[in-house]
Amino acid sequence: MLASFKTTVLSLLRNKSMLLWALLFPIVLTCIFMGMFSGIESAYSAVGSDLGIVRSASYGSNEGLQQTLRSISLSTGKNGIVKLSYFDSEAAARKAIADEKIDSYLTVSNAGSISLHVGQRSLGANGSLPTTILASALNSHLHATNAVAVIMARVTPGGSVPASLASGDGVSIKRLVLTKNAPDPDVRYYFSLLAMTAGIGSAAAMLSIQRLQPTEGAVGARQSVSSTPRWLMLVGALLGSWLCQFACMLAALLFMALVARVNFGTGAAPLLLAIAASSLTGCAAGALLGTIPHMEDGMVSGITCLLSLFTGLYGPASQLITDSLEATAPTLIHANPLWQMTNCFYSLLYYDLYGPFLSSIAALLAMTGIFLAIAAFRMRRISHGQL
Amino acid sequence: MGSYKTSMRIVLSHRVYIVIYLVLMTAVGLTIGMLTQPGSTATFKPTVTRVAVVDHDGSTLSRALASRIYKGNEKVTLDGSKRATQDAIAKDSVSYLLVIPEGWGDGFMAAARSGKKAPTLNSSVSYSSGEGRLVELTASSYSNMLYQMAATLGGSQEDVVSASDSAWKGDVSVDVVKSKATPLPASLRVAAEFSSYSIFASVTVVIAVLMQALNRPEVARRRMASSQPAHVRSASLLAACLTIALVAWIFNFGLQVLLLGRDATTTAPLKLAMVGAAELSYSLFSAAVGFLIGQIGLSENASNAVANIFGMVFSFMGGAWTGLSLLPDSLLAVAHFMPSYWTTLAIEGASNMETVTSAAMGSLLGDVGICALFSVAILLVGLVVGRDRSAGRSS
Repeated sequence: MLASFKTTVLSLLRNKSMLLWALLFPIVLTCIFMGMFSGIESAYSAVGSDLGIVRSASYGSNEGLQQTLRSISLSTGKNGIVKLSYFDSEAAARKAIADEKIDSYLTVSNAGSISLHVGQRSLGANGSLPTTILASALNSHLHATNAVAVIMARVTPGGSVPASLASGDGVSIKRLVLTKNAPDPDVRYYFSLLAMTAGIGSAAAMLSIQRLQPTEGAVGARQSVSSTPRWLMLVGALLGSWLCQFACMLAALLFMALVARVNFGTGAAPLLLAIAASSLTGCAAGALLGTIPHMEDGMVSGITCLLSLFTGLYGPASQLITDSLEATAPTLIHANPLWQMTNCFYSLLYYDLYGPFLSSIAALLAMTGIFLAIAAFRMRRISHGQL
Repeated sequence: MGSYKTSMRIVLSHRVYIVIYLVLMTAVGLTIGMLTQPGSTATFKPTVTRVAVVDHDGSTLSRALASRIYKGNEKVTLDGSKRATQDAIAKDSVSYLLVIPEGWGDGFMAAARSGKKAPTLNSSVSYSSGEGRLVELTASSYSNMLYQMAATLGGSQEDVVSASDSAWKGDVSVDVVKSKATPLPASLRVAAEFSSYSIFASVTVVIAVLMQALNRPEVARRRMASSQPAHVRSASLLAACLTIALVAWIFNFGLQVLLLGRDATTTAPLKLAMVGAAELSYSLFSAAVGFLIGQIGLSENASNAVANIFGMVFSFMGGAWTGLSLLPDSLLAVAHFMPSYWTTLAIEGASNMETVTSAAMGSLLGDVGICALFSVAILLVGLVVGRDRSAGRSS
């Protein structure tokens, strides 16, 4: 067994394309992610837009509206959401929309009602969120004006209106972090990448198992008639590829933690357990694939790429499809080993209890068991067929 | 013709790659496109946010606040346990969560009467904080209005709520200023941008596998020894590569048009054609890369690795998966050296063009042209590598 173990490790280390995949690939993508995410946080909260204002007599007389607009302007307000520009006529504002200079403009009719006109191009490019926020801010202004009118109507003439009416900030809402660590949009990519590393690493186990097949050339044939029990050779090969794959994942994990400064939100022990379980499942899947005749390692990477899509590796769109599938067909998404691997890291970051983490680990171990059982069954058939 | 046919037979015998990279990946890209909001921008629909209110109080005030927050948004019911709230926030199934503590309503009324600050509410905003911020705006302005009413008018909680609701009226009207040209549906844009990976991976891998089969020593020797002239042999290989690129393009773009852009064929044919041209040039670029990988003679696993690594790097850096607006400036500078950047630029530019002018179309066509130039450059490198290798082999 020790000899098989050693041969497996050595042959995997000498396989250049394997190293390229399992070691270099996660590191290259981590570097890309590092660059990408320097700007993504602000982009998630990007709600700003360019607002034009048509100056009319009724706008000029609405002091409260002007004050509201100043408070949400990027140049004057602290929580600015709009960049303001002014136009003398509605036609000029429409032209600015056609020239793609502003996203929307605001008019105040003679009767005093406020309307927002948003360009179709802006809606298509930025979605409806910036406009919804802008409309909501303007609504707040309208409601506050109404509130003063309601109060003034009910307070008896000559009665005093308390000072709190003007300030209107008697209630404060405090933001809490309810999860173990604050939600972070970036980490998802790194977790999916770790799972993908385990997935593509399964090609290593597949190659090692394939080498032991009697049909795989002279070495395979010799090995199949050796006096060493067959199961010992298989276990040796499996352990060897597990070690290699574990090392590759560890390297990727360390690179993420130390260079990319990804917050895994937990100590080393559970993380090591997570990568050990992930790489073991990867190896078991590889062993199973290794028993399928004419299986090429390129197919493993293809399958892995496809499964990675359902862990949310390929950007917000693939995260959307993963999340909606999880909501509608949880069994389907939970059957994806790569999803379970991603979920291990996810649970460690966000939950203060180990329950979700352990259930993902259990799912991975169960999958490992199933893969190995089928692989062993098929392997037995192959060896009998040869004898 | 014979060797072209053989090439195609080799390709078809490796159909697993076609199924995985072309059929399945494209299918997912299309699904993602369909999941994207249908993207009718003719009328304004306010953004709907998923919100949850955990009401430990249950007073008239807290219920009024909760129903105000739910209005116009998607209500998510949480059982209030820690696990459920952590689940909701971590998985982003709730963008805004408000927790109203027990006894809030009574404390609120007492505080308003004495002019003190009301008991604090707790909230949690997910990382897609733009939407959370929107709901927060409503929550804070409504609760402050309740406070104003309670402080000035007094009375019971019901009085405060009814006074507030009577003031919470008269929303700003929003209408859409139509563009002169009909924009392409957002779903089509998303699918078109996503397809860059499927096109690149399928075309590169299939061509690399084909050339690997042709470059096997025995096969290569037999090919060299045949009476077929060298230029015919090269031309048929080139034709095979082009066929693969065209098939990937037709499959992707064709399905996108058929499933997501059928209206656009009549309303915005020029824009649609621009998207098609961008995808075609990227497909040709992928063919050139596949040709280069085949010429270098990488193994099947290595060519898969290269195709996937570059495919992902290109798609990420080109903004195909996240949109160009999300790329930070420093990365944007690097992205100029990626052909995918130029195709994404053309696709985004074409989808949201205000008016279709020849100048605007010309500049987008220039972007597509840059991607085409990349393919020419890679193709030349591939030819040079092949010449060096065959020269090295014969000496």
